[in-house]
Amino acid sequence: MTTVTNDNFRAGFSDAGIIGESDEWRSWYALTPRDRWDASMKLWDFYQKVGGSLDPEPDYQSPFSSAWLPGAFSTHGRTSMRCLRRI
Amino acid sequence: MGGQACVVYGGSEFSRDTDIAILPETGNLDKLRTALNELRAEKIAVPDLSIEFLKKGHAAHFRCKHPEAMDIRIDIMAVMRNASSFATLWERRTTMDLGDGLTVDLVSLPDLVAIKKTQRDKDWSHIRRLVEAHYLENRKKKSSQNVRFWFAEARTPEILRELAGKYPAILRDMINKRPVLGLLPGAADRSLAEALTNEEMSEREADKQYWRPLLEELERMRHKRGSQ
Repeated sequence: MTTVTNDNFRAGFSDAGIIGESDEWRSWYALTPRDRWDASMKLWDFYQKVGGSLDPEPDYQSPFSSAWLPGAFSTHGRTSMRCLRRI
Repeated sequence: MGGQACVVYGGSEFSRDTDIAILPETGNLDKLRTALNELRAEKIAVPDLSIEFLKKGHAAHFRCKHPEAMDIRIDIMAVMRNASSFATLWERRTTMDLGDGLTVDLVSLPDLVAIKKTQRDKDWSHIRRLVEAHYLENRKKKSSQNVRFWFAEARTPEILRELAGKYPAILRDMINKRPVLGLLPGAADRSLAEALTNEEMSEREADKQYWRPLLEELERMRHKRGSQ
């Protein structure tokens, strides 16, 4: 098991511009794990406030994708049927 | 593991779900079910949460309905391609002290990188950024363990070239383990990029083959449920 703290992270960080990533990503790398966690939680709060969906994005490369395709849990459990009107 | 671990390690900024690796034993599963009940988690896909399916490599998918975790999805797995046993993953885990008494147990970075060698585009950009973040964090420390990890997993040509220049002996030792390293240090950018792409494509194809029987089984489960 390895334990990582914010303190031992800060001591080691070095960015001499070696990586051709955007400034945004290099700034993200320079954050401590806690800072990243906090920033991500802020993104999370914002995302929920603007009504962001928690459904998975359509990702047909994912082996789980067929679980999320429209109709995966449709009427009678068969993808070919849709409930148009309940009588 | 998954997206949340990627955030903490620096490989991504945001994840909408939580991926958990568990030890597939009866007592442990009972504890997990208790926790899922507290979250009012509802199963949202096949298969059921069971040791049998988890040990085969399937994932169980849930959506929470507790007000404080409304609609958050949880994916649970026990066996992942390229991953060691849970016991080994647990032993190698990283405990992140996030401050203020908050700690979280994450799958180790090398294990996370291994697990993310899938057929999905997004996972490969995560891998690249995970290793970049680790490299920038640790490149001053001169740890041979880290150097070997970077040689084994870096997908950024600039990092590979810098490593080749600084650690030629380790490079020579690692070439047998990762053939693309044989192009260093003098390969043209295009050749190195092509070799890295080919390496990625090979892993993606292996992942597709791995999932084929599992997907066939999922399809049978869905059809069986549909016909009941």
